[in-house]
Amino acid sequence: MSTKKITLLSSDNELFTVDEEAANQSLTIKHLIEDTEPENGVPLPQVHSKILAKVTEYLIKHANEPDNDAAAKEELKNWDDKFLEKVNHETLFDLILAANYLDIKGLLDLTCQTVADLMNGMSVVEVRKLFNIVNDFTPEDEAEVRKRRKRGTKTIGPSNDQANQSNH
Amino acid sequence: MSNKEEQDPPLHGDLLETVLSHVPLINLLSASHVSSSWRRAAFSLSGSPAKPWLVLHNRRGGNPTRAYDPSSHEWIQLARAPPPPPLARAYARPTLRAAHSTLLHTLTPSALSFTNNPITDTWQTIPSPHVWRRDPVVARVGSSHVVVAGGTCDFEHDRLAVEVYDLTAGRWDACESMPSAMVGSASATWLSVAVSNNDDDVSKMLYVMEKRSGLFCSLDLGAMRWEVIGEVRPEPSILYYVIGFCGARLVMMGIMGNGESNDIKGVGVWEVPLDDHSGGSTCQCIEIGRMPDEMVGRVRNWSQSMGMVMGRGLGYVYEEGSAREVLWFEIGEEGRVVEWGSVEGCDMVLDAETLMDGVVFTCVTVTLDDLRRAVGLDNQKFTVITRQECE
Repeated sequence: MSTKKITLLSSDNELFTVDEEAANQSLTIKHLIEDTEPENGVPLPQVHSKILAKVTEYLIKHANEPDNDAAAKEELKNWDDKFLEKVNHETLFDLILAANYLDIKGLLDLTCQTVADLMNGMSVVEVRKLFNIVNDFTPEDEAEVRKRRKRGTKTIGPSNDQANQSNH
Repeated sequence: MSNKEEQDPPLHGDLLETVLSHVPLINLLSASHVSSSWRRAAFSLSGSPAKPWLVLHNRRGGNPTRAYDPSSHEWIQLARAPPPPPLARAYARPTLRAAHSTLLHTLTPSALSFTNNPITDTWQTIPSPHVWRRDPVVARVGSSHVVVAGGTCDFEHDRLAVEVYDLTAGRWDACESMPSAMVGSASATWLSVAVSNNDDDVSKMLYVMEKRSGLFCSLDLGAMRWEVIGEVRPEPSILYYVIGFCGARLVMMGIMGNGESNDIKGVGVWEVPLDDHSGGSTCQCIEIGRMPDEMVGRVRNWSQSMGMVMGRGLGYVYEEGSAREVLWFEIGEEGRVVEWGSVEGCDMVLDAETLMDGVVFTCVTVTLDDLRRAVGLDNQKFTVITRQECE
């Protein structure tokens, strides 16, 4: 079986060449090839070469996903873990945007799960910082939350002496 | 003014929802406090059903209840145990029981208290049934009925007596007694019970299976009548049966083995079809999964004591009263078991007293709203117990 090569063109005009089978994991690329049959590479004006390099690395590795081979699946999973290990937060977010734009389900799941894991154990303030979010709750909203907490502690709140009381 | 693009959060709209769909419920709650758009995203997601939590209660009440979130594999301490129900307070330590996956109850001579959702902590108390009972099947069917069946004290003349409490009318109604075929096993100890926990299910059916024989009966609360459906025996070597509802499917787990040695040879999972049981005396079950051999080895001694609680898509298997080992299995969209696993850290999150008193298991589908009401937090972190803390 001859493997057709596909050339991808990043927003800063860098070229990446991958097998067609690898490229087709991106539904966006697949459709672009089918619809426009581009001659000088598939233009991806929304993806910078720095990110596209990571994306193609993923596509090549996942081109032939094992179906029933448990050991190969395990190896691929370990590779996935390592793949995002040294990636900084900014790149991670860019990868999510790229995976979404390029419609690569596996990569989108993997990057989203990594972000979800990052959030585990973080305080709300830390999450805001990580995602660059401004707290837009009004003082009234916050007061409502505090009020609810008070009501909450009355019934199941995290107060230890209440837990002790119910033991007696 | 600085560049506006740099200030925009990288993830918003649909993509934010995609990311948050990977966040376990317990963290989703704190995510909803991040900003108004995060709150919208978090609550729009909470419509999609989360995997049901396993909840462990001390059989004697009192001590903190622990919940296991299968999506994050985290143990959560509900900072306070469900309060002893008001009328039962006179009795120093009420015994908590759960006859089916989703109902925790405690019965005293004067009152029956129950809760469907120990996470949100809402107990309801009704007068005790007229017939004295020690070990009855207690089941909540639909939104308005509580069924109490069998488990009578020795001096009661009808061992099969059934009473139904109408929560809307606020009274106990008479009901046909259980089928006479169940006379030798008419108590919660010997009967496995399943009630559909499908929210949009308006059926008024209660299903009961004899744990030792697979004899399968149903109670239709519309007609207040019992029906003997038949013996369920997809494998001749099944020694012990338990049932539960996974969404709208009735799922049966059967323990197979050698009757003489009580040694478990295998554990199978079947779906019991509910629509075509009118003809014949046996049900045509569909096998949907087998426990892996390695796990069967771990449950070898459970042949007369296996318990199961289940919710949508997930079942938990354990030895009655004990939390030494709890296994789970996931049922996929197509109705087949897709994965088996072990709940880590059960015995470690429980205090010695609870391990001694015995553990009662329930299974509950938790929504973001439930959590918000229960935890009432903005201490911005959750009482999540990690295993390191326990050790």
